Amino acid sequence: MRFYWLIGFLVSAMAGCVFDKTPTPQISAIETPTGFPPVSFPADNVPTQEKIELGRKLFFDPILSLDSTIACASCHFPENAFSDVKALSIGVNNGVGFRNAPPLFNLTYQPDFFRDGGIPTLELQILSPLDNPDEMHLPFQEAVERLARHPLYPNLFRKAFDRGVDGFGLVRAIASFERSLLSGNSAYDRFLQGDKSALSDDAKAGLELFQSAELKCSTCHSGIHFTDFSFANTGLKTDYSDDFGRARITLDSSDIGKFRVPSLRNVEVTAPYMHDGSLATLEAVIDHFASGGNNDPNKHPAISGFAITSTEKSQLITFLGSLTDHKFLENPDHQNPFK
Amino acid sequence: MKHQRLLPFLLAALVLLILPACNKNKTGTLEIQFVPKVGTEDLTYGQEYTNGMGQAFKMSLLRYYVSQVTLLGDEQQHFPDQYFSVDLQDLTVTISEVPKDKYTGLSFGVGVDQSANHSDPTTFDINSPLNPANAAYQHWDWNSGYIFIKLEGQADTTNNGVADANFTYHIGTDDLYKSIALYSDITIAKGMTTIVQVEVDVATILDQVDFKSEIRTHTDLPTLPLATKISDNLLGAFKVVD
Repeated sequence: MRFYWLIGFLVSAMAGCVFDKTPTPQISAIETPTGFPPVSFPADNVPTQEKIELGRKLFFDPILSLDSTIACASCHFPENAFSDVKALSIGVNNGVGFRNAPPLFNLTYQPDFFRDGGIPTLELQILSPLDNPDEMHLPFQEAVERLARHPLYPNLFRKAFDRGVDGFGLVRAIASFERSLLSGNSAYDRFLQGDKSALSDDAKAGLELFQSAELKCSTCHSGIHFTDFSFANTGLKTDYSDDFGRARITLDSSDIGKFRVPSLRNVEVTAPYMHDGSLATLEAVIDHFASGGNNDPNKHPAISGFAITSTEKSQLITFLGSLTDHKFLENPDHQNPFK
Repeated sequence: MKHQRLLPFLLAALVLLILPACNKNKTGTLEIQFVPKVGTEDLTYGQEYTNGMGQAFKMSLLRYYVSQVTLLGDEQQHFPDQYFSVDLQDLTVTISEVPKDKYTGLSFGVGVDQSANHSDPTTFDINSPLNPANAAYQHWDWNSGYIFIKLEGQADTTNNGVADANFTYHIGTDDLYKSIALYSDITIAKGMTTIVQVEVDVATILDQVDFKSEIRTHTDLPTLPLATKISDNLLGAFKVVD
């Protein structure tokens, strides 16, 4: 009888070796938008309210830049679907960014990050702007130490991760906030869900043009996300030597000038456009595609030019405007928590 | 009665003692000591050397990752989860609990193998050179992956004999991960540390590198030939000191 506790001890000691810890079931703090595939997240970063709230603070806090002047939110504005209004963002010491800051939403569906796909996870992405001399320019370890000395953050990290401030939690908190930025409530979504009056006649005409064999927009801007997440050369430039795009990662010259096909959700509020922010308006973007762009051996075959009237152009722009999710732009959970 | 009460404690103590002891009984420690050279001379930062093209150069940094250390022989021993950073401040790679045996050589990768190369650096132990908290951490944040080897310094790029232009060679990417095999009898004895000295020759690593036209690479598309040349040179740059 009195040996039972020993047997219990031995069995539990053995179980510790043989079986992995069974994860406690957790319910994700992120809800899938209607009509979207289920949201996914890494096994080591299940989203929780605590992580998302901490991530939101970190996202809006300039503490993460060298001179404490630049936060993530300095170049990713909620009202612009978390994109920048500048062609190239300005970092600490007036450093100029390399590419146009992309909008942030529905990132849980994106296979990899950056306009060249060089970053495999949202967690890893955070290392890049933090360290970049033209962005936040803060050595990673310095960021961790600053947060550890802060009066509030250590407690928030303990609540979110059950441990003190460290790099593991830092990238996971911000990634959790970014993963919570889901946008699927535009007029077009309501139209898809059966509200035929959600789109005006002009928007419906624009949708038809968008899907037409002449314009071929939906060849790449396809599906629920309005992107197939591929990389395409659009003939935007004649010389890509200052930014090879996808070839920067693959080191394959047939990928020169290819950049991620962006989602067109919220596109109305994410000007300027293209990887370098060189086109100021949607009209200029349509003109570019209508012209067929520059000849380039890597140019996508769908970009061959088309004829479009000014009425059709405005219908197309009206349709693109129906992809704006105003509730997303104004969502109080996405705004600066320090205001 | 008294003794019966003690018995469970003794059994538990016995289990705790025997389990770890089993492992250590028949193992020793391998210590690889890297000896950086420039040709026949020892490498010293700031000292001037001359490359094969007669161009003067000085080194200010040599640092590389070592991974996938394997002792070769009939029963080869592979240590896949141990990563090391080697530079002039820390030239030693230590692997403990190596089964005692007579081995015919060792192999290791210069860099970080593909499986770990693209993982999240924050998931490694805080003391690992793969964690950003470590001073030796070298990683590209724009193309998630480690910088396998860094060579930095100044060189004469104008044929005036003065090594005053910075050069930067940062080599990485999966395709340029090189595995080095060195054959030499290595005996690991029970409870003992076996030291293997391995020379690493910067002159060989930079063989056929022309400082005039090849001043930097970050293993990017325009300078891929240079990065590939340096990576290929690694294969002949290591040798065991007999």
